[in-house]
Amino acid sequence: MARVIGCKVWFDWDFNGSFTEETTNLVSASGSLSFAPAEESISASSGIVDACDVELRNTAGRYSPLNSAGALYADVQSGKAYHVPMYVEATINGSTYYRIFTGVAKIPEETGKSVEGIPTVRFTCRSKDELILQKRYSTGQQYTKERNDSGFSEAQIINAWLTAAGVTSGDVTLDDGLLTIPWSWMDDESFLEDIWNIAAATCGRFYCDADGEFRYENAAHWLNAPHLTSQQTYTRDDYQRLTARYKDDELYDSISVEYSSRMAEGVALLWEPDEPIQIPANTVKTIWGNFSYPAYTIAALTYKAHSNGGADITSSVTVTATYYAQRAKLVIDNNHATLAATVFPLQITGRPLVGGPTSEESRNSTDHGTNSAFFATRGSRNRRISGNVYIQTRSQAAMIAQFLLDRHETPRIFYTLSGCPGNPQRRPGDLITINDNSVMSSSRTAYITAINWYYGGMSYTQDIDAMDAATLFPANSGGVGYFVIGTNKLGTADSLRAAVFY
Amino acid sequence: MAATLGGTTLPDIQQEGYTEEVFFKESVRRMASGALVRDQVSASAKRRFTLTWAHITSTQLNTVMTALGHVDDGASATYVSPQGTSYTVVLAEDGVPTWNVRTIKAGSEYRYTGTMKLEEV
Repeated sequence: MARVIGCKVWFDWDFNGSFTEETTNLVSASGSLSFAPAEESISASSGIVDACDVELRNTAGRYSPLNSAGALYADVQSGKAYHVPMYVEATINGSTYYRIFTGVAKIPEETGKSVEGIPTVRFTCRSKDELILQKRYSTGQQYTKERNDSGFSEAQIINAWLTAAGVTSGDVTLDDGLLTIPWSWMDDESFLEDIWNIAAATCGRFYCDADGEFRYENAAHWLNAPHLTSQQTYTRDDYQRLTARYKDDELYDSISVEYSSRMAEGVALLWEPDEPIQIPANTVKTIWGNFSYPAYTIAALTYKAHSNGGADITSSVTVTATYYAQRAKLVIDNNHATLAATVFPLQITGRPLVGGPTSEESRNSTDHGTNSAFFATRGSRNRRISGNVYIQTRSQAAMIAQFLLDRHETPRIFYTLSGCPGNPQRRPGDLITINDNSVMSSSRTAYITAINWYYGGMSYTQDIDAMDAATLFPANSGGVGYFVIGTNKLGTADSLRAAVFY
Repeated sequence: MAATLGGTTLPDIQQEGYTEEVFFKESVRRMASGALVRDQVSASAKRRFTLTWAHITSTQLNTVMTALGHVDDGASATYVSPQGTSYTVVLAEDGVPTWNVRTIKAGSEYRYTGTMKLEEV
């Protein structure tokens, strides 16, 4: 039976919150929704900003930044189309359209009239997390201590970072945090890259979904509804080609995780300049002081100033400091009418947060796993996780090591389903069933990790990447499940016993 | 009755030189099982019209070209079929006529043969 497909594309050309439908000019649209498996992101220290390409018929120069007669010239001239909000939605057999991409446009690429085709413009778009990828930030010094005192979880830190980035709470959905991260700060760092690190340090995921929602999913996310129920069954009726493959870059019998514990030391010198600072008469100068370690507290800012002739003119100089986690902005005002000031010494003292990657936790199949026999004949494969500053405690490193060992010690199958009829309701993270007796003797369940979609040429298709769900959560595979407060009981003999999630 | 396009009355079409093809705006893919999946952008069947003129005069040719001018820029126009049914149409992908020119008799008298294709929107 035929199905009726539809696709709409919308842009907010003038950033006023009101979107204009451009569907009548839509030639084609394609995009990807994907996230790296949690265990990959821990080592890669990065996530994925999803992408989308929209090709529009450029009727009468509508989208041309160089054509002053174009209908949108005022909004697209001089590169103004950069970061214009946009979204794409699709439908199957009905009037309900589902978002399949939400993001922002990059600069359009225009193709003029030619014998090869009609004039078109192509917008390469990125999901909304693009907006916080290039935005860098330094947290205020006092908040490092406040977050430590309050025992912030990874979810609370991510929320704080998103708030600082200007993301409205209505666009954020966060799972509960699983771990306390003692120390968190940003020192001229990208919001998104730092959040990716935080999520990776707790085996979670952070991404922006097809609805434009910023999502943090903790390590246990797939143990909750709707991820326990298969959302769709795929058979040979539902794809053109199925490939199943093992990946040995996901196969290890020993995991080591480095962690960076920190502690607040006693009051010490946090910063002083390498050389005296010269300030001409009646002049204000701004300098930045970068600390070697984050500051837990600031004790004092001390300085002296003298003229070139050696006279003490400290009373003519004021230094105003704004303290960030690992740097200070110093505004030095020499209000002396005639004398240049040499500011020296200039010192900031306080309690530094010292520490670094000096320890690690390891887990291996022989002592902590169930599949050591597999490696006995095939050779050992070791994986080392390092460089994530948000892995800070021994217990956290141990959790990550065990979590990864449980996933890595058994060869895992990954699937690609090519040429599927598009379904706008499918999302990465959906549990699906794959049933193909030419490949498997019984059906398998798998989690979608990526969807590459295409709409155009009167068709809507998807290529789906999925990860086999078996043994992802060993206690589920073993039958006892994971402990749910209010449902399960402690005790090895109790019928309601269950395993504690890491 | 004579067909019209955009209000322009077209010359008489060649005998058996007119077809109306019913089609769906769709793509068809064959799945791994052999099943066919059809994606349609409209559930309504559409029509494709093929109009062939044979040995028309230059005056009649100009009339056809005038009618063609209603749709040759991608615009839509009303087409009234020889049966008197109205459709909103655009020029089909390969719809622009290629005129074959024939000398009918000695001298400067030429006659033209060509086909135009229209597609219902």
